[in-house]
Amino acid sequence: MEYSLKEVQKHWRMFGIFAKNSLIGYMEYRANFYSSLCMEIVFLFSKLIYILFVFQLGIEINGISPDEMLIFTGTYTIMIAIYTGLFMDNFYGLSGHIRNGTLDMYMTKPLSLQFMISLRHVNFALPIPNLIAGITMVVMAWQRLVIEPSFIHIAGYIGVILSSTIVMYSVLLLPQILSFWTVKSGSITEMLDKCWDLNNMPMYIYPQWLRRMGLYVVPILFITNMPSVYMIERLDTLLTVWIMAAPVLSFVAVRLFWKMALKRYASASS
Amino acid sequence: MGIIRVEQLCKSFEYYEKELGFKHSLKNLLRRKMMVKEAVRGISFEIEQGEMVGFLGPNGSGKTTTLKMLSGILYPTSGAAQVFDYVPWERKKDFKMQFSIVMGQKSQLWWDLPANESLYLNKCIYELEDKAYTTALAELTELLDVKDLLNIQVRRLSLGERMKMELIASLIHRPKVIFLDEPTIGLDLISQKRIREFLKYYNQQTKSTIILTSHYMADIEDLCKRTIIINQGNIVYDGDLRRVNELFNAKKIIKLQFTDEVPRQALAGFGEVLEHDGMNAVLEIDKQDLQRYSKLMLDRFPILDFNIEDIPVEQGIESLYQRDGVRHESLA
Repeated sequence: MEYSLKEVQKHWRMFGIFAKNSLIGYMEYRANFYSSLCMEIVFLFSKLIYILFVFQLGIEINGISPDEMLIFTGTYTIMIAIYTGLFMDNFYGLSGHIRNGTLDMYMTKPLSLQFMISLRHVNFALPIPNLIAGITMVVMAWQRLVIEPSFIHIAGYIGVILSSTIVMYSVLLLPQILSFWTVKSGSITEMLDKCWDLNNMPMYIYPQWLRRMGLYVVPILFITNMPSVYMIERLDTLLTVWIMAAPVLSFVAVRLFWKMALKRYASASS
Repeated sequence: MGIIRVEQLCKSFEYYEKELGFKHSLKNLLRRKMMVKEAVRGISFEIEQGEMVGFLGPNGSGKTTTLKMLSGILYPTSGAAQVFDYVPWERKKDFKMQFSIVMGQKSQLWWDLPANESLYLNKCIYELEDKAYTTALAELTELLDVKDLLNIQVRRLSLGERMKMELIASLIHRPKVIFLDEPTIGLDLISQKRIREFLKYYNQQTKSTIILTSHYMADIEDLCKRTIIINQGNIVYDGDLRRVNELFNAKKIIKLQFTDEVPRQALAGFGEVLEHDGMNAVLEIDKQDLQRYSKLMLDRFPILDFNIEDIPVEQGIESLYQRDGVRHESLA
């Protein structure tokens, strides 16, 4: 696929149309939309009770105060919203496309196949409660910590969220690409989902070897920790560089892996 | 020089076999014997611009695999192919802008949305100007008589209506090369005929190059002067369809259903009895005797149902093999 400004613009426009089509599709099935919304609210409440419990105990973990912990949890919740809204349905659908050969038609279109497969569907029901709750938690904690809400600070936080989103996209898509070899990828996805839960708590509660692995080798801990670490002003020089380098490196890695995997595609009976 | 050039193209697939039962599943879990299927075995041909060529062959003969390689979906195991000077599996954008593939069993339309949303999506994917899109849409919907169906959810359309929408979605950018893989599969006779008429008209008007795969003889007969017959991954015939037709139409199949039992011996004089169970029979008779024998049978036997059919494609191909002396092991 060619990389030019015109192509980037085209892909952005196409993403807008995908989102619009997904929304129209959702509107056709209102019951499903509302039930997904309710289910996510129940999940969110169960998580909030647990957070409230930790918060009320007022325990500091490795120097992280309960208010700072709320920043981590809020960011984690925002990242869940981004994942479920933009990526989850598409990523889970990849092995189905490979198994049933439905990738065929997408492959012949003059648009990046990876883009079409990984961003075709936008989920509008699942992310809403998480997004609202996540932003609320971050704003609340921000006020309680008396961090100055300057433009630079807000823009910086959004920038790190963007960097984390790219890392999240790459890290979570990578195992799904293995479906080109294994066809079904349920167990790999399950394993990664469990690893994703490591983000539930600040990375400072984990031993240093695990923290380093989760930041630099398989940057799963990067996803929610980096925006929070930026917010509570614990960034050192290495992490600052890593915030800029990790999305580039992880995206290049997933792109190369995708291209390699495509050569394996054998389609399916038709 | 042809717009499509194929030289010694091969494609093999790896697969595993599993015999019946749990024991073999367990065995396979520990160790699987890898098998290789040669789906396409060194085929070569050239197609000129504006030609409409039919790929004919039984299931599993390699027709679809060939089309998938020509459209860049599959990488070949070996060999070369070029479609307007592009190597299809390099998947260059300029190449993709100029061709289209329609697969009878695979949809590109959004299931929950009206077809017009999917068509608009293709407009943007193929970077069409508003005017070009509106003109093409008006023309195609008029030709296929689906103007009133554009606003209906795709999942509520009949198979025939959906196929017409698939065709519009594939042709909206006016491709120069079109690959059609079983576009009439599962459709009733009237819908099949409509689509054939449309394709014929479209080919004449746009001078587009079309490759059509089908195992419906009527599709190929109606549309393509040139036919490439593929069997077990090999091209066994490439040429004028009329010559193949002579072979296929030399004999006819008659299917009979009786109200009372009719012995096999009573039918033997009319032709070769292919199947017989007393109440039903299938006969193969010479075409020249068809009219005379049909009348005789209707007069002589207690017939409940009477059907005349063409010789199946597979059998026609077998006849072709025997005449041309091409060696083969068995038919798929």
